[in-house]
Amino acid sequence: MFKRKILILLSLTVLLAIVNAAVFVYYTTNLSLSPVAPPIVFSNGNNAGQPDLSGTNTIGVIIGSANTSLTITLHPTYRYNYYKNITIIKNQDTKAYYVTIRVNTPLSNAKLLSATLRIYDTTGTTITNVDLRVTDTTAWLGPLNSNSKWFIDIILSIDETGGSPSSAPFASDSASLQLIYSPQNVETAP
Amino acid sequence: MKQTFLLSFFFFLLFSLTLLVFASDFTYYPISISLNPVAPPITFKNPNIYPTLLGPANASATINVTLNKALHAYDYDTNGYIVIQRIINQGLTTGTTFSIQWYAFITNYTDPNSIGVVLQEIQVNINNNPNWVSITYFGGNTVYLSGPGLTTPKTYTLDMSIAHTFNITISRPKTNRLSIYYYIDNNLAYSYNYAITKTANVVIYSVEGGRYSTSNTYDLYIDNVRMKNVNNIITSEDFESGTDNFFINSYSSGNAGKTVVYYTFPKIFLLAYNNDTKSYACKLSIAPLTAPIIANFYIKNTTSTSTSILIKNTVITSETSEILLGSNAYVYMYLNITAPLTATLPITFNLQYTYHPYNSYGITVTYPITITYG
Repeated sequence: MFKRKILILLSLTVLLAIVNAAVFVYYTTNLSLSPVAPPIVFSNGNNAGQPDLSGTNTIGVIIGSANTSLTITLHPTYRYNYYKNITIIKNQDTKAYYVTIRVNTPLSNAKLLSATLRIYDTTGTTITNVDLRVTDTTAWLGPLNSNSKWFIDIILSIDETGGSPSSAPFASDSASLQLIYSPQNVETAP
Repeated sequence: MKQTFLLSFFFFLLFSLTLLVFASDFTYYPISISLNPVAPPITFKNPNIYPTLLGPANASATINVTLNKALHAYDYDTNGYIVIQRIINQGLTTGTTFSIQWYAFITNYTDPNSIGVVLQEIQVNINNNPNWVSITYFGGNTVYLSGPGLTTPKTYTLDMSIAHTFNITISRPKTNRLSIYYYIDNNLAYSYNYAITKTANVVIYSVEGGRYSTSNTYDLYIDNVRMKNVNNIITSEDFESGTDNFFINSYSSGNAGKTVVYYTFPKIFLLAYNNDTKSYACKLSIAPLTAPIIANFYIKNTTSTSTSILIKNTVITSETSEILLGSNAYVYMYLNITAPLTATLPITFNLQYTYHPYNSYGITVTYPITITYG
């Protein structure tokens, strides 16, 4: 019986020694980056830079130097405002991509009865309507085929209640979004 | 052994698939949208024609068009005719005057043979010979003033897209003279004297409108008739009773006739003012509607008129053409509505006033207009 206990203790000691004598094995992994030109790019719609409401305001569309970022500035007024064809999403690759729009920071002014970003194809068929007042991510859209384009409209409905003919409905509001694309549409974008 | 191999293969496959899934490629582009709203560049103004409620920012309007009845004389038959007439048969002696006045509007006018339509006329018999003192329409924006002794009718330019008050007055200030006056919208359009013999028997025989000749077609609307006869007795008719008690000697043939209807003469119902430094293009459109009416809506600026929204029981043309609204200028919105006295009222028209910067189509703004008729 005593011998047996001694044997167990010895075994435990050996096992602990094995653990503490951890072996580290190193395999070589090469990570090679070969960047490519952006397959999906933004470009100006027909009405980018065209006159907006009031004075010398224009429909502000600024596209980053690599055409991979987009800043839109609009000057709506009370009631129903439709901004048409202000930006284009273009696939300049030879393969198709799936696209999703994620609203990270929505428009939040209570005067906005609705705020929609509409994406449609060259036939005018709506691909999706994104509610700019809600944090959300659309399902995968498309695919946006090789050398195809989608167009962006923005539609805003602003409450007249409590308004004045001599003042703007509200001072300002902004939203932050992401256009996400992938060659696949199986997995949700992280 | 075989089991161990299969198990190993299964785990290898699972591992490979997991690798594939986690090999998905997602690319993210940032988008920023900023709104910097502005005061409305175009605002509605109330012309104070009908009870009107503007929205707090003058970017919407609710209008209650009150009912009015008028006489509708129509000729829809190129082989038919309609003459609305009242026989007077009063002598015009020295020192007496006869006057007839009414408010009239003619529309849907076709006249391939240029026979014209009399908007207002007095038949005056001189020694039993009929003479006609007339205001006649042949199309366009001109009316023709004619009478005894005038070899060529006098022309008078007039915006015929709206109704006007016409008045013909004949007096006999001297035994040997008739004085004839044509007033339009209470302004003297033309007058002249016509010499007669001192013993001439002058009789105001009748007042009338329409045309006895055939081949043209039109709708003629008349309201607020006011006649002052040679004895200074005034007879008036506003048709609000639903009956025409004035043109009691009228006659017609074919698909032509007269009836009292609900009628709103073409009038401004709303103004839009451009507060901006740049010009805009604007138009009206209407939602689908089914009602037993005929209605037109259109817009005018100082130089041009849009095409019309047309409703004939249902919407035939749903929007006007666009017209220019210059900086610091107005456009004027017009309506005219016809309905039979049997129509179920009220009727609601849901209109939209749409504008965008002139020659630019990036931004379009729409204001709602609700019109209740009746």
